[in-house]
Amino acid sequence: MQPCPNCGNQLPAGATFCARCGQHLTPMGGATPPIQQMLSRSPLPQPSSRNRGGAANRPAATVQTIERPPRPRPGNRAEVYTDGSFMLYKKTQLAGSPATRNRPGPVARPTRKHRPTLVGKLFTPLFTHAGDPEAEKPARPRPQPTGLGWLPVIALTSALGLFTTATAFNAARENMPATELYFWLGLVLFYLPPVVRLLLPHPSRMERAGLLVVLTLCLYLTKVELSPLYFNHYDEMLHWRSVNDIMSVGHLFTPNMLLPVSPVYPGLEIVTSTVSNLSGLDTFQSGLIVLAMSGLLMIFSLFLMFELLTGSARVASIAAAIYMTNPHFLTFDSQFAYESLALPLATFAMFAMVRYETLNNGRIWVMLTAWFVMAAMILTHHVTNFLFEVMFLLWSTIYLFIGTLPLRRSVVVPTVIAGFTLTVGSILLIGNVVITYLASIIIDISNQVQRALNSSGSSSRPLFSSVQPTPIWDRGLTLGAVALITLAIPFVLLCFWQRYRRNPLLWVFALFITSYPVLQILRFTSGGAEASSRSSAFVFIPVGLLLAIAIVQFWPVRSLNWRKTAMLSVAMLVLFMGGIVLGESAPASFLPGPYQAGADGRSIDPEGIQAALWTRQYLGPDNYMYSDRIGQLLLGVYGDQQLVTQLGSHIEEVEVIFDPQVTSYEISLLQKGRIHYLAIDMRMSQQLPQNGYYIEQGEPGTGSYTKPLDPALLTKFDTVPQINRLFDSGNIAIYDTGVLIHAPQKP
Amino acid sequence: MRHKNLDLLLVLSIAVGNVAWVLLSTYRYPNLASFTVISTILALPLVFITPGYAIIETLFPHRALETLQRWTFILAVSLALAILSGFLLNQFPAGLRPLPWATWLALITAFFTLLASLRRGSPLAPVPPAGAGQPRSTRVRISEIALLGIATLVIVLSVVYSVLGAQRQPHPGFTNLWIVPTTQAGNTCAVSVGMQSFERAPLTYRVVITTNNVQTASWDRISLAPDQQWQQTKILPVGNTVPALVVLVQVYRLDQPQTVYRHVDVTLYVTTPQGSTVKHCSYQ
Repeated sequence: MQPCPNCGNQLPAGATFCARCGQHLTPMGGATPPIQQMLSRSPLPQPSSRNRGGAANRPAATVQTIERPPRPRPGNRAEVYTDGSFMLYKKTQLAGSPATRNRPGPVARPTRKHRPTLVGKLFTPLFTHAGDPEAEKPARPRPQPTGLGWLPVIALTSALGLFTTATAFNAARENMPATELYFWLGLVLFYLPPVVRLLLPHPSRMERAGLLVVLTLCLYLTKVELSPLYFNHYDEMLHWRSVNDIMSVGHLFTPNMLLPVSPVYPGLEIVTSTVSNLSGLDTFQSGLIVLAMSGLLMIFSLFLMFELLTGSARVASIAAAIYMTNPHFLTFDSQFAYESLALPLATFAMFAMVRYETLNNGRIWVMLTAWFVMAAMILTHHVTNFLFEVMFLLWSTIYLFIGTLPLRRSVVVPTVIAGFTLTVGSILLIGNVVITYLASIIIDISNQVQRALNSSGSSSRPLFSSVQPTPIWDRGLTLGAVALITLAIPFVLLCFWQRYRRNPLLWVFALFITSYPVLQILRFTSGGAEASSRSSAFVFIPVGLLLAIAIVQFWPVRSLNWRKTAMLSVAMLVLFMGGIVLGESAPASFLPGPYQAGADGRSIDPEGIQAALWTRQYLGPDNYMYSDRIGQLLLGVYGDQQLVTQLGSHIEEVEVIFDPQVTSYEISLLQKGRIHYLAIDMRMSQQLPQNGYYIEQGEPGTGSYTKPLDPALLTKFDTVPQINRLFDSGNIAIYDTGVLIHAPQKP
Repeated sequence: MRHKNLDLLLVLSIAVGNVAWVLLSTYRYPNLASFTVISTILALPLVFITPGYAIIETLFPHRALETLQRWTFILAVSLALAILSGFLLNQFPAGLRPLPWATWLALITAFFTLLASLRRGSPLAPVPPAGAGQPRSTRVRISEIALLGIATLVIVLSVVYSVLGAQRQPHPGFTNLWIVPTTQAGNTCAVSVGMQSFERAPLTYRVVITTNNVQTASWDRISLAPDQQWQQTKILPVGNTVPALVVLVQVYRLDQPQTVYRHVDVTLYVTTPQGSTVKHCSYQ
């Protein structure tokens, strides 16, 4: 036994820290954490430099206790060192609890560098907790948990939560009030109970994995309930068209004018068409199954990777639950788009690499499996590939300095080489479609950021939509979620430094988490906001793990009680709910309901679908058409038409709609784009666009509409004799401009 | 195969079953294609499990991977294999069709199943100590199974409930009206006029067709129930001097007879090719 030098608590021989006050101990029993030494500077009047230097050189200083220290608070005691410096002890430290009152008093530290100062007192507990190697050790040893635990009960509450969200959505479809409240209630019902359980130390690994499955499925099915009959997100429709092309042609790489890069990264479309071909299900049902499998792969890969990195199923499960709070997890990451499949594949590849580095059995096959899956990921989504390549490159660079294995035995560097080889090879085979596509996006975002920084105001955007008012509590949740993560970053990094700085991958994660505040600044530009949102799926991998580590370190198991558990659960709930508002805007804007202009899912209604179906039946497929944002999707997917877009044809056609008259200039635009038909939705003249624009981002008035379009802009085609109005459904009219585009072109 | 390879036998059966089903439903009994429940039950394991299972059992025999890791590997490898196989099948004329898919995935599964069974029997394969890396067996109580069953039922009901809600979502009614030029033999022009109701209740309409501002046809009472369609082909007389026919179709609701409810128009051009006396009606 040995006494703690700080509080006098009796400790077993060989203890590394005091369980009462958290004081770190050296193997010899002294308290000498190096980081503590750096911070242990006296804020009080300093002795002369001569004395200070002398004290520092002395191996052991003599301690003198005086009755009246310079300015002690009542009841405190000051210890003055022979070199003139001194240390204040609080009354509580002197008195201690009744149990410790009779124990030996505080032992003055033998050298000056160990004296706790005001700064030291503030930071010592932080450093102590952050570096606590036994944060997960319970106060009393418990038997290893087994079985399902509370999983069945929590599965039932989660199912009830899912039913509540279904009720909210159906009520929203009927345009009933207070649906947002039911929606949040449903989410709380299926997020909070699993999170509370995951925070506790009792559940077995099996129960934790089960809770994560329940949580993942409930979140995924919430997205399905939003639109259970067809894909209704913008990106989903783009990929839906690519699947339809594969199904009808039987081969890959059919051009898709809505998203030209989609056919050259057909991973998701291949798997979906395979399921559809073999099962006989339609594209929508097949896509839902593929996405469910992708979601499970994602969450299992994360859980297993985090578990290997931290050695704790508890940390891993909390980290995975925090990952689910990322703003795009609810809808974007589970939508029918290539990233939804590529991200799980990439995460799996990373997990396999971590497993190679961590465990010894079957390593060569693990490496080959990682490469095999990585190759599939490279052919599925470009941005996911590039971001993970950067992550792997950073990992290998750091590995060169602090790698735990000899370089020749590590998987990291060979994987980076293999990844880059496959990436370059695929780009050379595919062509420069992806380079052009990404370059245009990056240039657009950088220009907007630059303009926003120059305060021109033209490209800056409000944080919350001005078209659909965001309630104050939703704004509070959003800001709270961002603030929680941003404010936690220093503490998170402290934990990383204290516990995991020998792990190269954790170094990469620590670097990535510092980008989180920067990414939030991008939200003040219209293009950057999308980039910021889309990056959350990647950034939250480190955010989830490092936050979970910080939670476990600062709220160790031995001191965990119901208050702390409740507080942590509420904090995670704020992250979750705030993330949803941040990623999807206020629920009122994405819950089902009546038609809204320029609102993606809310803009898809039977009238638009029937108009698109009519074009396929009466005009035939593959006509060149021009329409608003939603019309493009519907005509492309349901009508099998070729839609002329700026992304696909690189021609700005918006003037055709926005110019007040059809002059030779507009006719020349029609001729350039070979636009045979125009589909005009009159609702553009009745409602403001929820997304900030009607046709394409960058159109006049993007993000700053104060009133809908002038109806005359949309009806001007009725006055041109050469333009035929072939179809009229009330809101949608389809015009035939074939006569104009077949006329001789004017220079 | 020995008794210990029952799992591999099941995997192989699923693969062969898929090929048989696709062959039968494609070539022999096309009606089988409508039994999507059976084809789905067969297809999902073939895409998401069996190839990955066979490969992982080959690479990591004797349960070298812990259970959760193993199933994660199986799912990831199956998905990756499907993606990469798509690029391979794309090189063949048959392309990405049901039979090539079923055959290819079944072949992969069969090949690795064979390898896996050989590796299991190999005396060189490392055998981990009993219980190493395996979770302790847990006994699941009946009450827990019942609760999980109820939870599953509630989840299924929730999805069904939302499907019904979406199908019954109220939308404003609308009516489609269209006009399409049709090809007619001889010295005539013609248009096809159609109307389909997606209103929430039956409606009665009046349709008027004018050609160059002269009424050429009208239908005074057309009653359409929701989803009902009406279509007519109208032959238009070609005059001797008129170079173009502007055909305008206007629809009125009988409950609002003064307001044009829908309107469409088309211009047809009357031409006489050189050396011919027959007039042609061209659309563009």
